[in-house]
Amino acid sequence: MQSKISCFNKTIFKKNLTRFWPFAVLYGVYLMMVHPMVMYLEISNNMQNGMDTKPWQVVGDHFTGMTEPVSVFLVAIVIAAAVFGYLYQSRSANMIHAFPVTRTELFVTNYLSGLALMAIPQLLAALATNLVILGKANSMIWAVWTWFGITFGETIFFFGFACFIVMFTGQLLAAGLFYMIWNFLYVASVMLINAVGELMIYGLSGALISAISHPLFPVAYLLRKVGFYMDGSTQIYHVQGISTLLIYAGVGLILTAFAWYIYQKRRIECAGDFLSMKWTMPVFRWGTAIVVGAAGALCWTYLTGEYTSQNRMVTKFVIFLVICSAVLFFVAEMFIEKSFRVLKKRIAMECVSCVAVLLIGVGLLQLDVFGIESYVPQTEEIRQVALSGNGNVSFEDASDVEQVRALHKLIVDHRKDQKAQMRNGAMEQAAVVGDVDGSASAENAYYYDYIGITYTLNNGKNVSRSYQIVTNDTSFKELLTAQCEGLFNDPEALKRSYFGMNYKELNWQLIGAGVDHARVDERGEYFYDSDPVYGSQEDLQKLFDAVLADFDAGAFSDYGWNGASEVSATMNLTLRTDHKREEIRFASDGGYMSYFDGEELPNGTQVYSSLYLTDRCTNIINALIELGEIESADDLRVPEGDDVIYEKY
Amino acid sequence: MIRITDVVKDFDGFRALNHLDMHVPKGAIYGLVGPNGAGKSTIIRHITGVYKQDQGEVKIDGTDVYENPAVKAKFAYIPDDIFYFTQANTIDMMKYYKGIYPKFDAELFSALADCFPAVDVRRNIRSLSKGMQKQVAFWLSVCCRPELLILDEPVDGLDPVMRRQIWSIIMNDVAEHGTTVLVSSHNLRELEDVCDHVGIMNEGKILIEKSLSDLQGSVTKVQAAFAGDMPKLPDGIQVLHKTTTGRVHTLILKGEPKEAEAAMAATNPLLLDVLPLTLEEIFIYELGGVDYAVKDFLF
Repeated sequence: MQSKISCFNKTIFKKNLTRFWPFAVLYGVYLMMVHPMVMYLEISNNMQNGMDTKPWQVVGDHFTGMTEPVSVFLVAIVIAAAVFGYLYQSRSANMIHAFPVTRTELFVTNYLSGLALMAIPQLLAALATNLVILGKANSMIWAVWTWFGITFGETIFFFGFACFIVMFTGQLLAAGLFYMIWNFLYVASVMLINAVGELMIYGLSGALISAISHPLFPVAYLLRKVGFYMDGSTQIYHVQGISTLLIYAGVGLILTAFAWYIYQKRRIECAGDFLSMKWTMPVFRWGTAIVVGAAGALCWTYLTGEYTSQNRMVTKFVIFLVICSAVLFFVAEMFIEKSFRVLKKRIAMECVSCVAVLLIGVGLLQLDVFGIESYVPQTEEIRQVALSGNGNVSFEDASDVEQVRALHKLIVDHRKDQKAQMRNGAMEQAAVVGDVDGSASAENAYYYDYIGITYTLNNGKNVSRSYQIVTNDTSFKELLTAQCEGLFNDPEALKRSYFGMNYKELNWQLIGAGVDHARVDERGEYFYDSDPVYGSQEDLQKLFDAVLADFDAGAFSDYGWNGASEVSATMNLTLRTDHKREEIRFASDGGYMSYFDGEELPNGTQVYSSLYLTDRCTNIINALIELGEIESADDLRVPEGDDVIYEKY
Repeated sequence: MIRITDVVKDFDGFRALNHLDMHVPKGAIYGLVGPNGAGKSTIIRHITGVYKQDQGEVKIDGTDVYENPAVKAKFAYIPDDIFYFTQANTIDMMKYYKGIYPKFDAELFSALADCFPAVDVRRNIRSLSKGMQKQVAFWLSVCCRPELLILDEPVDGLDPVMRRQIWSIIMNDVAEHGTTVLVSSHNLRELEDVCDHVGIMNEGKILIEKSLSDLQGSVTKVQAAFAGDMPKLPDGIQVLHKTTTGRVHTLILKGEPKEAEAAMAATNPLLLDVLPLTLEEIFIYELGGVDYAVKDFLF
């Protein structure tokens, strides 16, 4: 005899709500404080202080800056651990599963009650915010309910995810730990791979930014991609990322289905164990040994690696990796077994296998079996390439791209010599740096520079390399300089890096400028002062023409230039174009606008850039004199009395 | 009522239940005894549908128990270590049981209040003593109107008066409703008074499973004295144990008391007495040297 199929139990649902209401109340209080209360205060302050901002703008701005994914992320695991917490103690697990209810009924009821514990405070906060807006702004009501919809969608994702984690862990500590691990796993793995890659592969450089905004890092991705924004051109608020939200909510439901499936298979006798599913145990052991072991070995290597050559650091890293991963393999097993007595033959053999796999992986990287070190993209694959070193330059033309590829190949072909020089030179350098009586010689120490190459491929992907170039080898240096000079000194390439790849189409207008230069105060101490440039739009445009003229004259083309400059100042430019931000094609490596994102204006975009002024910037200096900003080039010099003449960086 | 066939359960390489067979007849009060670690609680968790066996069948009324709420609604289970929700009082738990068990009798709950005068129904159950918590568990379980009561060390931690009262409630329930009772304990003396069937477990197996009357009829204790040395006993009489004090010989014989008496009488003893055996003695002599651990727990 089988009972009728039931998926919901009213009694359990009610019991969950009456047991765990304090969590909902705390969450509700938080939401009430950050939404209706803050909005009430913002609108009231705005009205009392007679500010220009309209109440609807206050409402829009409030929701634009919302950070709900963070709170939903945290609350979800707390609620999931509460409603399914009976699985973590054998006493409660045995009793609950002896009751005449199926696991499906338990799961669905607990899931819905957990969802209710999160959604009810959200709904109440939305209602209260609605009332505040009705009373104070009477506008943008749709934003409140859109916020509620977005937050609820995020709740479905994070709560489903939390339930999934709870189902394959056997104790509260493990649930919290794995929830955090899985959320940050992608970004941590990318960081780790980059760090190991940088250590072991000549020229590899990190790409953390892309990892942070990756869908596998849900909190950060939802924060960036889903929410409100204001269209600068129309001053109207819009919602972005609804399709992203729906995908996440769908994934949340899939994870919930997985959680239900795992619950069906879950061994109740695992209550209190670290992990509930047997197949996850080796995954945990190996994962801990590889990921945490590699991270530990890296930290250890860098903490003890000062003045050590890259090759010596790789050797140290490999030794530390073996130690860390082996130790952590057993530590993971201790968590699983809840015992210190884990030194068993089977585990020891598994540990040896794990370490062997790691060593093979390291060996493959070192031998460049995957061709990462020697990789140079094909010309037809490349859309754009940026070169950095003594200046930033960007290219799109096939012939220019081919020249950069030739430079890249030259470096790659000389990598063995370069690494050998670093190994030999670093030992000497270490001795010199560690020398306290000054008896050692730095003759063999190596001196280096950097060259960075960033390709943007036709498929949208970026390939970045950053090379440490040993400049002691004069023959190689000459060869490299010959290749670099033409590229770094190309005025057009420099302008593209400063003002965008399509700067000619953008018709930049200079709408503001300022000059930062050194001054001496009455106590004789240096400080940097910033003077705005005053003038009409026509005057500013003349100044901008002078800037472009100095670019064309090679004032900023400084590869191989080792001259000293008495002029030392920075000029800040505020530029405006009628084109939208997405129409500006920034250089692959961001160029000189990399630190300043373009600001969307009602009818265009505003960007910022800055230039380092030297004696060679004659057109700019003359324009500044004409504008009355300075009397002569001396005003841009480091003040008298100082013995230091600024060397070009 | 309960039929367990060839059940195997392993925990990380340790075999907790080893091809276990067990049968609890309907209406019986079945005592499950065994030393610590024998697997009593493990098999009870299979019977209650908490654990899933690796092999074999666990059926109640001919139906699998696991994930079957209709079957689970037929029994009430009182574990050794009872669970109550945090902050819950007896009334809260009664409401919960009422929502979970379809046959829960709220009127009976009120009627039984007099049997548990020491239980403050408005007080948090977790703040009550272990004995009080057990009383609440019995109170709630009986009100579920179960066809089967499954009790794991039920009166452990209770004072003698309360033990008697609990057993009285159980016996009344059995008498009135024909409830089947499965009770696990390591207190043989207590089980002897209430059980009509007994199963003894060791190392994940049921070693002996019989009705109490069958057990009592299977072993006989005889005291006999002879003029000289004890003569050779007739063929077919199996002596499980023998002690001699002076000319008096105490024999534990396999077989029914009447048969044993007749066989001994044929040896012309000066004195012959057939004495009753306690359940404890029966187990000791039945098991003989089967397992030292079993003897340990019996003494």
